[in-house]
Amino acid sequence: MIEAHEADRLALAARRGDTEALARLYGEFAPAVRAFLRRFTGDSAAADDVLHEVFLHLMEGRGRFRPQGRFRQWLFAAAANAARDHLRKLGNRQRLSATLALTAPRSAPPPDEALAARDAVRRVEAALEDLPPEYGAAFHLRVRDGFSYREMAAITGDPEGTLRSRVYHTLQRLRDHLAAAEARPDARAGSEES
Amino acid sequence: MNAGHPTGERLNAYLLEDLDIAERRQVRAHLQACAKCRDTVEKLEVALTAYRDADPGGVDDAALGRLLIARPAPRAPGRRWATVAMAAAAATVIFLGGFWTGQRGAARPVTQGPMPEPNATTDVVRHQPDRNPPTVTFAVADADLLGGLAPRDTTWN
Repeated sequence: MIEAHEADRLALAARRGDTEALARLYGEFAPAVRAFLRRFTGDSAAADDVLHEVFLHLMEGRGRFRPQGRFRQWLFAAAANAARDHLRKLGNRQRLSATLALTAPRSAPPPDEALAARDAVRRVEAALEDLPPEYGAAFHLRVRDGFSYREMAAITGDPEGTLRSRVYHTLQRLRDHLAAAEARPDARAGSEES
Repeated sequence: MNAGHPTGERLNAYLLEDLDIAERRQVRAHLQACAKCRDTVEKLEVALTAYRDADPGGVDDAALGRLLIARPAPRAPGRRWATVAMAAAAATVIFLGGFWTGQRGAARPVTQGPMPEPNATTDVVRHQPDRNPPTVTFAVADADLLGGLAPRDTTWN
């Protein structure tokens, strides 16, 4: 894992055209930013395009960036802006088909745990499915990437209260979803078969 | 609180670690005593942990390759200052050109009377700036440089 100040140093080097620095930043941050973009845009291909644009933006030295140990936040903010532009160009703020691939847990736990984890992730994905992208994106930034509401506000440009409300609403939706699944005896068996 | 149970919002805040220490302790004490709330929280914790820890998925190796191919040529040190200097020079020429043209207009008011016969040696030189203003030449030459500079943050570096 790259420390915050090391990330700043690498970012400055990448902006000067250092390809090695760029490759290190890409390897460290691109997967998380791409996951966020997939959540934000609801579309894997769009996430790839926007990710490319964001790192290109970084290399070209565009955008105000002051090294204060906040490169990660800056990068997510650039990603959020680019994703918004992308959606605006599409003229469609509706969620596109949710095509998020289900993924294995990071540390490759035993098969039973892996299955349970996949099932849990599937339930979260299902709960997020019908919500507007802004809700899923806020939830993702808070739960997945661990940003504070203040950082999220800096990233998205939305007020902290709005973001908190979106995260809570999404969590409430997840709770309802889990309760509904619990009430259907065949639901768990069905999801495990798929 | 509702019948002694924390509200859904409070449980959400507990799960998201948005409570202060005292509030958190209060909710935790309730969870120890209430199997129903504990069950709800545990299920949500499992789901949130799984979502947080799920592999974000790799990025295509080729994507980095495409990025490196698309990258702009590294900027030579001082190139930005050279660009700024050229832009400043262009602006100065535009200003002086405009000033000179204005002076020329003021020096020959239309009420002066009939135009004198052209003098083949002096008037050609005197009219040259009007027919071929220097502003046009410099503005076009520097359009690309200014365009490249514009989106960049000049306070950076």
